[in-house]
Amino acid sequence: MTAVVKALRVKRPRVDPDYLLRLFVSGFTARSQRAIENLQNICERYLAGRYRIEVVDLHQSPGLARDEQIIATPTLLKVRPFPPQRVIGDLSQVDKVLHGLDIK
Amino acid sequence: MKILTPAATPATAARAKKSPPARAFRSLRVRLDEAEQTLAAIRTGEIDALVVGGPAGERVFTLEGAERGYRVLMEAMSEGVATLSEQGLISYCNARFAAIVGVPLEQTIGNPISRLVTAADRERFQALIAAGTIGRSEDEFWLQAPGVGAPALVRLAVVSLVMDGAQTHCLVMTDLTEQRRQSATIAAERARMQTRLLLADRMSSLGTLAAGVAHEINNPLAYALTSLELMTKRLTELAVPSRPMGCESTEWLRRQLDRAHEGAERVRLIVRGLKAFSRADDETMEVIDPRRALDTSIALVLNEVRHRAQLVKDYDTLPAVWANEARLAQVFLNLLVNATQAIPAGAATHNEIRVSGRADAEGRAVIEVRDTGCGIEADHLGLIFDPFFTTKPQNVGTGLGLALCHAVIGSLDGQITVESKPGEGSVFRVVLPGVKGAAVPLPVPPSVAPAAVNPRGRLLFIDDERDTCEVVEEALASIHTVVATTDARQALQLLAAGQHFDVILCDIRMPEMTGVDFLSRLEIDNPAQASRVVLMSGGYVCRPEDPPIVRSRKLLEKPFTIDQVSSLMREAMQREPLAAG
Repeated sequence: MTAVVKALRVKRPRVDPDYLLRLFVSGFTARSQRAIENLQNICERYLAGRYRIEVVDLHQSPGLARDEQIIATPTLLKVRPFPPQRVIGDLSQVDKVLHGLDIK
Repeated sequence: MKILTPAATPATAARAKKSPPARAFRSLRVRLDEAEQTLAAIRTGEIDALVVGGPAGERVFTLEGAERGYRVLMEAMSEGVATLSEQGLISYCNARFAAIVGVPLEQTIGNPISRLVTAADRERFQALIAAGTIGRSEDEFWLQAPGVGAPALVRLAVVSLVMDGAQTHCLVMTDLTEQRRQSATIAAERARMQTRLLLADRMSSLGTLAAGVAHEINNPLAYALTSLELMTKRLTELAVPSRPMGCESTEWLRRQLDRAHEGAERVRLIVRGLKAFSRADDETMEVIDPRRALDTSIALVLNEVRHRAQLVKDYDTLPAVWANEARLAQVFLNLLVNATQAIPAGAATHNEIRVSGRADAEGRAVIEVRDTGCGIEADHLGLIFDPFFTTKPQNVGTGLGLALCHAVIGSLDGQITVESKPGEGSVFRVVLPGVKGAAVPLPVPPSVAPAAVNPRGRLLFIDDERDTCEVVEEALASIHTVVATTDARQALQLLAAGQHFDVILCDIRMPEMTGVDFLSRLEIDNPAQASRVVLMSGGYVCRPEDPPIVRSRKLLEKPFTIDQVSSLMREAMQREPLAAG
C-alpha cells in the first residue's frame, strides 16, 4: 500500500513532458485495463515523446480521489497543460478523448 | 463516453481574460459539463467504481468485476489468508490456509480459529487480534488442528477493519515450517562438513604423529637390523664344510634369523610408508623409481588385502618418473585402500587386486590398480574425484582420498582415470610422463666383494645411540678402522688433532651438538674432511633455515644396512684416497 502513484513511464524525456495525464482506476477491472490500454495507444500515436501517464489505483490511495474531485472510475485527468480536463469511461472513443485532451 | 470540456480554444481563452463575467461563466459551464458527464456516465454504466466521501475518509465502492480477480489472486497466493468475525469464527479462508493447518477447507470456514490455537497460546493470540484493530500486528504461532498429526509453525499478520458495521479481522499466514525444515537441512549439512573437516584435521594430526613415531622407531630398528645382518654373516663364516657337526643347528639358526630379518625389514617398509604419508616428509621433486612407491604402498595394505583378495604385482618394466616419492606412494596407497574396501572380506581366493605397470608407446609410465570389487555406480563416476564425495560409511572415508590423488597426479602433469562396471570391479589408471635417459637411483646393491680385497679404510661414526655405534664398530672392524663416538664435539677434537677419515657418518638429531652444527663447524675448520661427511637421518625434514651445505647434501636414511656403509666407504676410497700418513 506504499505506492501512491504507479507511473507508467513509457518514454521518459529529459525535461518534463508537455502532457501529464493521470488515470484513476479501481483495482484491475476489465474496464480499468481497457482504459489503460486505450490511453497508451492514443498517446503513442498523437503525443509520442511528449507525455507521461500516471495510473492511480484508488483502492491503494483513496485520498487522491478527494484531492482531485474524482467521483467515479475510470477517470482520466489531464493535469498539464492548463486547464485541467477530465474524461470518464474506458477511453475507447478516440475522437472524444482527443477532443477532451485538447489534441487536434 | 462523455467529454468534459469547456470550449477551450485560444480565442475563448483570450476573451475570458478580458472579461471577468465571461470567465466566471465559462468556469461554471465547465463544472456543469463535468457534472452532466459524470451523471451520464454513471447512468449508462460506463464506470466501474464510485468514490464516496465520509467521516472515515474516501471509500471506493467497486461496482463490477474486481472481486473475481482478487479471489483468484487470493487462491493463488502461497500465503494463507482468512477473515475472522468478531467472535473469532473463520468467515473466509483460501485453500492455502486450510492446507497449512492441515484441515479440509470445508471444515475450516465457519469454525472458530481458537480450535487451531493451543491453550498456552490463547492469550498471546487475543493480544495479536487486539493489536490488529490499531494497526498491523504480527507474531509467530504453532497451530495444530485437532486430529492433525504435525503442528504448523506460522507467522500471522492481522489487520482489522469494520465491514458493514461489524469488526472483521484479516489474517495473513506465512508457513514457517518449510523454512524451518530447510534451515534444519542446512544446519545438518554444516554439521556434516564440520565432522569431515575434523576428520581431515585428525588425519593430519595422525600424520604428524606418524612422522614422530617413525623417527623414534627408526633408531632402534637400525641397530636391530644391523645386528641381524651381523649374525647372519657370522653364521655363514661358521658354517664351513669342514665343520659338519654344527651344520644342522646352523641351518636352524639361519632360518630363525632370516625370519627375524624379514620381520624387521617389513617394519622398516611400514615405517617408511608412515613417514611418506605424513606431510612432514620433504616435498622435493626428483627422478624416482615408481616401483619403490608401489612397494611401499603395497607393504602398508598387504595385511588388509590378504583377507579379501590375492594381490598380483606386475610392474617390472616401469620407467622412471619425476615426482615426490612420498606423494606418489600416497596416491597408490589411496587407490589400493579403495580397491581393498571394494572387496568384501571372506572370498580371498575369488578376488584379485592387480597392480600393473608398463611404459606406453610414448615412454610414459602407466600404472593400473585393478580390482574385482563391487564397482562404481555410473552416476558416481563423474563425482568420485570431487572433494568430500564418498560412498563409504562415516568414519571410514573422508571423501578426500581420490581428490588428493587427482591433485597430486595433476601436479605431476599426469592423468588419473577410472573405468568401472558395478558388480565386476574397477580400474584406476595413473599415467605419468616418463623421464628419458635418467638413471633411477636404486637401492644400493648388496656388496659381494670379499672383505679381504678391500684396502682398509677409516670411518668416523657419530651417533648419540651407543648401541648403533657399537653395532657399526663390530660389523666393520674386520674391514675398516672404525672410530665411533656418541658426541660430535669429541669428533671435532679428533679431527682437530689431525685424524682424518675416508667417510664421516654423522647423525643429524643429537642432544648436545647436532649433525648440522657439526657439519657447519667442520666446514670452517677443515673443508677437506667436511666434504667427506654423510649425514644420517631417521626421518629428518630439511628446514629452510638449514645452511645450504646441509640441504644440498645426500642423506643416508636410517635404518641403513652395513652393506650401504661399505659401499659409501668403497666409493670414497676410490674417488679420493686419503693422503698417506
